[in-house]
This record gives sequence, structure tokens and C-alpha cells, in this order.
Amino acid sequence: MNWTGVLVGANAALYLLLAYQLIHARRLQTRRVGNLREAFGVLDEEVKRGIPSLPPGRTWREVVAEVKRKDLQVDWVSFGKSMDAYEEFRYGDSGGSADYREVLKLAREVKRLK
Amino acid sequence: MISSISSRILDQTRKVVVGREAETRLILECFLARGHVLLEGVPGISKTLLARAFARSLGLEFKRVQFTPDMLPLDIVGGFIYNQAKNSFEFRKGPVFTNILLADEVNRAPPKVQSALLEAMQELQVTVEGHTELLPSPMIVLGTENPIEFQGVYPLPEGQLDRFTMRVVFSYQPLDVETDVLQRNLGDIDFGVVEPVVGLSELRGLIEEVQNIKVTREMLGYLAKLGQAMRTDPRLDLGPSPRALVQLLHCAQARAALEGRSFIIPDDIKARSDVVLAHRLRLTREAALKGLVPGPSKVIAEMLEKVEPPR
Repeated sequence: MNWTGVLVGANAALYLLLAYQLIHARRLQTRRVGNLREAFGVLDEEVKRGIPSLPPGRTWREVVAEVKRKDLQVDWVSFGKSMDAYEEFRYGDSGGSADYREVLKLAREVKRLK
Repeated sequence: MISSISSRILDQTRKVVVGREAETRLILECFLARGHVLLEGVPGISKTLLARAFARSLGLEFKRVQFTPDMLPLDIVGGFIYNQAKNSFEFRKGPVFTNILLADEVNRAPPKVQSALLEAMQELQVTVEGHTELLPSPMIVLGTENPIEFQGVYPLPEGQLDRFTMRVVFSYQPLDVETDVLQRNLGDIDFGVVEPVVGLSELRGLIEEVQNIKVTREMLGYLAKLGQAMRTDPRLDLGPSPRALVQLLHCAQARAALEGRSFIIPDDIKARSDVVLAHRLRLTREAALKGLVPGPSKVIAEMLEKVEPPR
């Protein structure tokens, strides 16, 4: 038995696995965000990439209604609260400070759709 | 506060009208947006019934005029009548001097009468032989219109249609609702059961509240972009006027208020685009021949999918 060949093969398989894991982890990694607005910015990018068939005229509420149908692992009640705060900040004159973890979670879930 | 009033009004109208919640809500929005509504549908589909119940639930003065081909403008706005005792002419107010005017089958009247009514709607005042009288405030016209295929109707010209903020189309009800309608009509309809749930000063306050609903400059830009996209669409001969966009904005504000928000979101504009714009747009002859059914609504829906809202 040629042990050198076996070792080279095993090494190559190990490195390939490592490279795959790195690429996969990079794909799932989301940008560091510091506030609700940035979190929705990340979600917007992921939605555009993840669901390119979505018409550009869709509002946030329509986008959310669309992704809700895809059976994603998101706490929609918590997400709804973040969305209300975002709308108040974006179109009203207050808000903007709310928990945005669920927004990022949705962004990650949408990223997996690709 | 506005949203609770809305549900109180719906509770009252429901006592006599079965299954017209969406239409009632639209009329209320239009009222709060200081506009006028065109109710379209075949005869006997509860347009008049709803208008009467709505007026009663608001506790406002209500008048109804049945439009006919032999009407004169003074039958609507009023005119000078000779008073023999005083040996002078006195202005007698026409039925337009009310808070809620139901102009039934408005497209059966000749153009001169339509024009007199629509001028009053626009200016909220009436001028006869140099004498000007202000209409009461608030004032809304609920014009009912038969589909143009019906006999003896004069289609409303574009300029006059543009003065109606919304067109609310009454369709036939689903089977179960129609069964309820028949059940409700086994006896006589008693409008006495509809109670006024809001006072005049409260209504004026609500209208003011709607005017104060926040609109960002970005939202105005979105609305303007929508308008321009429709005006440049080759399938349309006539796009929305600036007045139409202003009225759409007011309706979006009323919708936001009824949903308990102090600001409008793009969904408010999208949700009211069809009822506010469709009756004002005119398809080119070619587009009409190609069978763009149900007409301008399809163009509006496509534009709403294309123009990016602020997100």
C-alpha cells in the first residue's frame, strides 16, 4: 500500500472540507450593524440578492408578507415590533431604537434562500 | 382616537347595511380627506342605503337629490325667488347646502347641472347672479353613477370626474352575504336604529388631525414619481393631474390616521392609488382595443410594481 498517496489524498480532502466550511461561514456572515436602520439596510441587500424576482415597487410590508410564506425560522412577533419602530423612524419623526436581532436573523435566513 | 370612531361608525352602518365595510371605510376616509366620492354600481346594490346610514351615523345634515334629464342648475344650488311681501328677491338655498349630499344618478343630469354641482364641490361656495353663499363645513358629495352602458345617461367628462376624490365600485355580494341581505330585508328597514356616534366639533377635530399626519419629502417624491411614470406610459392618453396626486396624498393621510399612525407609509399610497386614480385616467384607443381589462387599473398596478418606494 502506498501510504504517501493515502496521506496526500486525506490531506486534500481535509483542506477541501476546510475551504468549503470557510466559504459557507463567509456566506452566512452578516455585516456588523449598530442600529435598526443599518439592520434594515442589511435585510434590504439580502432581499434583493436572495429574491431577485421580487418587483422593485414592493414596500417593506409586502416584502415581509412574501418572505413569511417561505417558512423561515424567525420570531415574527419580535420582528413586527422592530418593523413598527423602523417605520416610525423612517417615515415618522421618532423611534429608531429597538431590538434589531430578529431583523438580522431574517437577513441570514433570506441569505440561505440563495 | 380616529380608529375607534371608525369602528363605531361601522357598527352603526352595519345595523342596516349588510357587508359593505370596505366601502364604508373608503367613504369615511374620503370624508376625513375633505373629498367627494363617486359611488358606481348597478341600481339596487345598496349605494343609497349606505349613504343614508353613513350620514346618520355621523349625525350630520343629509339631503338627497335624484338627478333627472330635465333638471336645471337652480334645482341644485338654489336661486332668487321674488318675495311679494317684501317686494324684493331673496336667495333660496338649494339642496347643495348640507353636510352630506347624495347626488343620486349624477350622470342622468344634463351637463349644465353636473357642472353647477361640481363647481360647488370644488369651491365649497355657490355664486348666483353675483351673490355668493358659503356651503356648510364639512361638506361631502356622494354621487352615485350608473355604468355608462345604461340608457339615458350623460357620461361625466374628465374634468368633472377629476373633482371626485374617489370612485368606489359596488360589486355584487358573495352568496352568503346576499343571503344575509335578503334576511335583513324581510321586514322594513328602520333608519332610526342608526345612532349618531360623533359630533360636529369632534368631526372637525378629526379632519384637522388628518391634515397633521406627517408626510416626509421622500414620500412626496415617491408620489410624484408615480404620477410622472403614469403620465409617460404610452398606453394612457391622460395621466393623473396634480390635483389627483394631492387628493391621493390626503387619502393616504386619512388611511394612516384610521390605522392609528401619525405618519404615512408607502403602503397607504399604494392601497389608495386605484380608487383615487383609476377613474381619472384614460386609455389610448389602441390600448382599449387590446383589451386592457379592467382598464386603467391594470396600468396603475403595473406602475406600483415598477416604481421603487422609499424603504
